[in-house]
Amino acid sequence: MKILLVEDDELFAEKLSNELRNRNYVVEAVSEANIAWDYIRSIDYDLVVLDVDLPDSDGIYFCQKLRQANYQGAVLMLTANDEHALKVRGLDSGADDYVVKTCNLDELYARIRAIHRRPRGFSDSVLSWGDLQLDPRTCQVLYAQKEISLSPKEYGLLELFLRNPQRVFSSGVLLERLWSFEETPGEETVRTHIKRLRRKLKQAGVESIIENVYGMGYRLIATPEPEPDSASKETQAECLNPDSPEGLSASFLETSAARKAEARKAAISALDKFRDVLSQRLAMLDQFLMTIERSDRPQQTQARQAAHKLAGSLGMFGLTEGSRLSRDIDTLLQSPNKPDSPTLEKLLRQLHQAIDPILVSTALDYHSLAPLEATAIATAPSTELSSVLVISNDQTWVSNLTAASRVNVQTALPEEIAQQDTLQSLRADLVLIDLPAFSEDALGWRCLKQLTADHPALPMVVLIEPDTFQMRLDVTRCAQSCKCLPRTMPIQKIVDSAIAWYRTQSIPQLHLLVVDDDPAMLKAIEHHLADENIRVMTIDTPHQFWDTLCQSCPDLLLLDYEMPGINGIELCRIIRADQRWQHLPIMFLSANQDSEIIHQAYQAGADDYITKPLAKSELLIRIRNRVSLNRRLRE
Amino acid sequence: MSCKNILIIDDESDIREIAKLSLSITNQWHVLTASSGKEGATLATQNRVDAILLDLIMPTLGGLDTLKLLKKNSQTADIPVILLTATARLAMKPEYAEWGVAGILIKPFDPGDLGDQIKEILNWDIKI
Repeated sequence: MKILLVEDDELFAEKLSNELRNRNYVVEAVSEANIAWDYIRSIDYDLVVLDVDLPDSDGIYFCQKLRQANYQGAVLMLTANDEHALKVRGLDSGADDYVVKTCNLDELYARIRAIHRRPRGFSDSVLSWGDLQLDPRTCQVLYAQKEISLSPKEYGLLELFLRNPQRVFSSGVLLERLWSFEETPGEETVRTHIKRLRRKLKQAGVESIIENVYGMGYRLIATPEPEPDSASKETQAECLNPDSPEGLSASFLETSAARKAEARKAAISALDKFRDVLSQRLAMLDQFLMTIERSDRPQQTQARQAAHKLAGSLGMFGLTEGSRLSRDIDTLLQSPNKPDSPTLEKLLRQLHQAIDPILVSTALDYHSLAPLEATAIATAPSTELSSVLVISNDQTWVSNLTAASRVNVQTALPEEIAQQDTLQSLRADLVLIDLPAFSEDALGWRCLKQLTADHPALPMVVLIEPDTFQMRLDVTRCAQSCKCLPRTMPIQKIVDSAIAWYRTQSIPQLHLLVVDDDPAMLKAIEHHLADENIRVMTIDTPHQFWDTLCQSCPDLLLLDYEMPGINGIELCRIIRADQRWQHLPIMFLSANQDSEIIHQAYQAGADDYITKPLAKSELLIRIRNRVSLNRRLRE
Repeated sequence: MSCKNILIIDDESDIREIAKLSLSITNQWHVLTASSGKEGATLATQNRVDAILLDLIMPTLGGLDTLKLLKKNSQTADIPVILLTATARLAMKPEYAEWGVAGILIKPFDPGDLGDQIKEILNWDIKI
């Protein structure tokens, strides 16, 4: 059970926190109402123990505010004042109970247990699972009348699972529910504690009480039922008879629906494992399109099979549009004749648009399952900014910004950002954090840190004041790739700078044309870049080069130096001699480290020269930086 | 309904895994998987299998050949076979009916509904 203690008397708060912790409660203590507000909006507490006299707010008023904000959790009011009228006011404000500080601890625990029972409707305070019993009053865990000794965290885990028999808990949720801010352990800690709990229970004779739910977390296994007698079997069968819908119990339907939802979520979670497989099928179609003029029947059959497989797979992961497009490609390729190239190209482009963002998105976690498309928007945005999320509590400034913007502006407070799904539901392309707007310094910084941790790919603009080197350094240390702007800038300029910066940051899928006579090298490059949102076209003979270049219009050209018939430097000169390709970034990738050759390559118009063997990370960064620089220059 | 044993024969790892996930979560069924027709036919003889989901297009031993293999073997002849395909038209060939296919499931399937679809095809009631 997780408790937030709001108490400004530090000594009392410390003493009470320790006592509660000794009783296996997870306790966080804060001294002010406004901090408590942030905590309550961010974390799911089972109980708020609230002092009536707080330095920045009246506890009764604060409780009213919580209830007005539709806070459903339990509140126990705590005060030194035993006045009857005050108790009435406290309870009327929405508190579940009112305790005078002079009461003894046993009474306080009993009241906490009573509150905990009430909203959830427990009929008995002893929690059971077969012969296993957990008594929250005594913190005792018994199996077949024998006591099992558990650590506070193991006890907390068991209590949580027993109180929520149907619920799947991810490691993140368990951390949030059973560990406090200060502890901040990793998910492996949860695994360790679950493992220990299982071991202790097993030693006591309890078999398989907690199960892993693939890709989701942990859940209490259904209670072992005693063999029902024949009469009760009949009743059960009657109750679940599919021929009489009214006979289906509500709980069966709920369980069935929950399992279906769980299966869908698990499928989406598993997508991460199959990115490579799906990318390879897509690459096969790309390759076929590139070589369509020279392709033979077996190649067309291979491409058709790839499309067929994509059509069958994508829908399982919720990518229905991708599945539909793949089916269209499959149909197109079934023709005995060569398919119409522009039609195939159009379908393939649409397919890339539909699934590329999903295939390149970072590993999905439990929280980001439903709004897959939103994740995609955050990780692979288009180059035009359409929606900005402003985190500020300066309403006037936000209104002025909204008036000056050409894009959709949404606002949020830091405490809302703590809720995992806020960003996904808002679908922002860029976040603008107004750091100086928060009177409490740590709040804005905390928000910035959390955003960076949760959404590392999300473009962020941070407003700072004062505009000093130290401030910029602090922001950069907190969020490496954000843009800092002084808050004193005119609002219109802030908007324009944010839009311009976003354009340079948001790199949609890159098209890379690679010319190399070594098929193994081409394959290696394709393999290296397959997962990086880079569409790679390869040519192994310079003679195909010009037509492919004109057809494909790549974002960057990667050339080998030594090739039969014509070398890379000559190719580079030909390209630069044509007005259309003046701005095309050209990089050399060659085993030749002769400084004279490198010099000639730069003279011929190369932008970069990388020597083999290549490191994937270096190649990737150089490609991205080159394209990004090229874009900025052209802007 | 007692716990069912389902065998999935499909050369695509993602289909195998998602179908397995789906059936074990929604129905707590035990799921065996095979990546080829040959492996599937062997598994079907070595295990108690209540139903087989069989992919139509597979390299080497295709869906139809695997189906024949299963139906010719007395140990596996009575196991209901459901065809898995992304193209319903392909499964409509008379040969499949002749070899006693129990039904057809169109890919992509909804991981939430796969179990219900199997139960519907095989007339397994939904008692648990």
